Amino acid sequence: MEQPCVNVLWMYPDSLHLHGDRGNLMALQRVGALLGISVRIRRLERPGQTLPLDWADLLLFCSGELRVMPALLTGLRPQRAELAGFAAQRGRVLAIGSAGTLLARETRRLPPHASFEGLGLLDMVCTERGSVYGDDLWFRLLEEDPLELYGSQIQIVDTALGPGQAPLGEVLYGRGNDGAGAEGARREGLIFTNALGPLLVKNPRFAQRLLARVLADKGTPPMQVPADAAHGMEDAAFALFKRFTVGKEAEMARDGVKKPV
Amino acid sequence: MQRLRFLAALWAGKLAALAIRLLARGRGTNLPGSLALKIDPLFLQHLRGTDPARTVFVTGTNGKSTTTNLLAHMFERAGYRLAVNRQGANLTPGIATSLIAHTSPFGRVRADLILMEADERFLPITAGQLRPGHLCVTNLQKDQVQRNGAPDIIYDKLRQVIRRDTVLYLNNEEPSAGSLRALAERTVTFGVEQNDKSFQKPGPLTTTVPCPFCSQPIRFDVYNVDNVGPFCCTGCGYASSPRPDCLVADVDYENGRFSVDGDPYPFGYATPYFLYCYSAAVAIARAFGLPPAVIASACADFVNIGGRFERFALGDKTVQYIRMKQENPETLQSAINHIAADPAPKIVVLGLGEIRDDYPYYTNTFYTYDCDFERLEASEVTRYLCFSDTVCYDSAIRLRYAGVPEERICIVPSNDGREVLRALDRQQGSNVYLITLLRVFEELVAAAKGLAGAAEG
Repeated sequence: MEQPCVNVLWMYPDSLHLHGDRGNLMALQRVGALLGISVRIRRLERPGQTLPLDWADLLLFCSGELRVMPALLTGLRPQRAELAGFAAQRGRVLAIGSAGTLLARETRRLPPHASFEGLGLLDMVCTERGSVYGDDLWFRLLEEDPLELYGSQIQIVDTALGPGQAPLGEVLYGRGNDGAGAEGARREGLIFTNALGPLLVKNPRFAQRLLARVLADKGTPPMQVPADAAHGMEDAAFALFKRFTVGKEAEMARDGVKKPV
Repeated sequence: MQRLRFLAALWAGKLAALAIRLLARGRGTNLPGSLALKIDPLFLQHLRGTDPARTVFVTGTNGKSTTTNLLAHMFERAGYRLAVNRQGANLTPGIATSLIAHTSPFGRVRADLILMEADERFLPITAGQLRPGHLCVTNLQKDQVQRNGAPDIIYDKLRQVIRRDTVLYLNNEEPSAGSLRALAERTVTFGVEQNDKSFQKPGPLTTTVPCPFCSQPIRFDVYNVDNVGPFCCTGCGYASSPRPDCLVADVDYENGRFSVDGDPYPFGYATPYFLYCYSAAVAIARAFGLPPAVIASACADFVNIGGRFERFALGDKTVQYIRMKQENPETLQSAINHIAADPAPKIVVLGLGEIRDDYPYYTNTFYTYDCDFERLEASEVTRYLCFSDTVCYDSAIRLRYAGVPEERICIVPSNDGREVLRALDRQQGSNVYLITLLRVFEELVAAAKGLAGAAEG
């Protein structure tokens, strides 16, 4: 039987690589191997290149500097309809960190920079913060099987969801989109999250779920399900994270420090 | 009134400095300046005898302290009286503290040259009060993302400070710093020629940086240090110059020599990272007219403060410590490259921890995925030891992604120095490399002394 495969299009890897994001690709390959899936990665190098959506199953946009986003959007806007159709019908798109500004309706920048319109594929507005907010992030997916995910968050923009826009999860610790309890956004095959880490390294079961759904979209189930032991080190890392995070606010209170917002 | 307030600030600062000297020597690199700035928030601006033409700031992500200290050594060798912040207190209060020490009781700076390492994030505040006529930018890279966010945020801060008449000293081979050349009329570029320790970054998951002008990918011909080397933008053609104004060439690591325009210079710190510091310092010293022989003499006996490389003994083991800055992939990559250059069998100890720079503390280790650990794994590492009570498993997972089998990784979920050293002592082999923060290294040295004392007792 032929090994099932998932084709991952790595979007603008040299422009969107702010926070060790290539680890997500490494994680997809590793988890793919555990599932008996071949994960094939193709790089889309340059803004303006045509998206090979006939080939791709999953598009991965990682975090980047805000200054590069307008140039990337110039290349993406003419392909907006195709990208929307891809996410609605047969593919998945994962945007991490500041890459959310590409999928948002608008990003409002601080002077002297010009604000810019995104693709509007997710109903959300991003607003550049006057100061960076860095912290841990721990949230629960709003799904039937509510997986808990975690990572770090370097918040350059806050994100406000529109009235009809579903979040990806609810925050258990951290800031999430804007400190109000919602984390990320999702619509059809589009997923946005603030979680860095790299996200898929820290959360291999989420990577597993993502790949399995891509395969289900294609009508092919994974060949095998990894044993929990395959994620033993990740589980141990998550346990230390929880202990640290739970104790953190108490430590700040003890040090007389008010949590920055 | 303003003058009186300034003098009150100055004297309060001087008294505080005196008290610290008497009571707590070695401390207080910020306190006198903090006090002065509290009394007179424009303290630096109100100093007399300052002159932008005789004020040099060294800023950037990496290499500020080394470049500043090397440059200070050169100028002092040439007979200059300097006001300099050698201890690396590079925020406005630290700079104020250094200047208080070199200011007369009536507020006149008594120095031929003000030479300051300046924090890049606070540069607009510092330079708003004390204008540097000369500004050196060593590089602009990812660093302390919890505070800095992204390099473009720092880039914007530097742009605010640079005037058309600022003389810029820019790293020719770092695309972001190099692009600042468009902002000033006079720019001196410095660089390093390809040498024995230059490298390529192979593999399908390699990334570079976006062009600061057009956001298209930058391609490096070769890397001298991570993300620094001769480059060209694949979009607009922006490129490093093949002939920067100061090019460190003919690098001979073995004999500790390089040349600039045919003049020979000795160097004691034989690593690629230091070469850019030498290059920047030579460029500035030459621009101020220092003779090559004086510069070379200073290069020969320069000793860096708070060195990046230290060692201590643990039983039959020699532990070589390599300093790194967390959330700074370039310093971690330089540490990895340094270890990988040793072909002998070795144990590598990785002591990454949670980030405790600002509240809230957090467990970021994602910067490790910007680094290539594969070359380390290819260099005869017999055993890895990852310790930390928060992120030891994250370190181990990063190694696993570089192809290290789990059974060769010893994980110690603790920050207790004795526990870490006992675990290290159980590993076979005597050649040990340690990558961690300076604070953790100092705790381990203290623990090693304690263990040695207990063994003797």
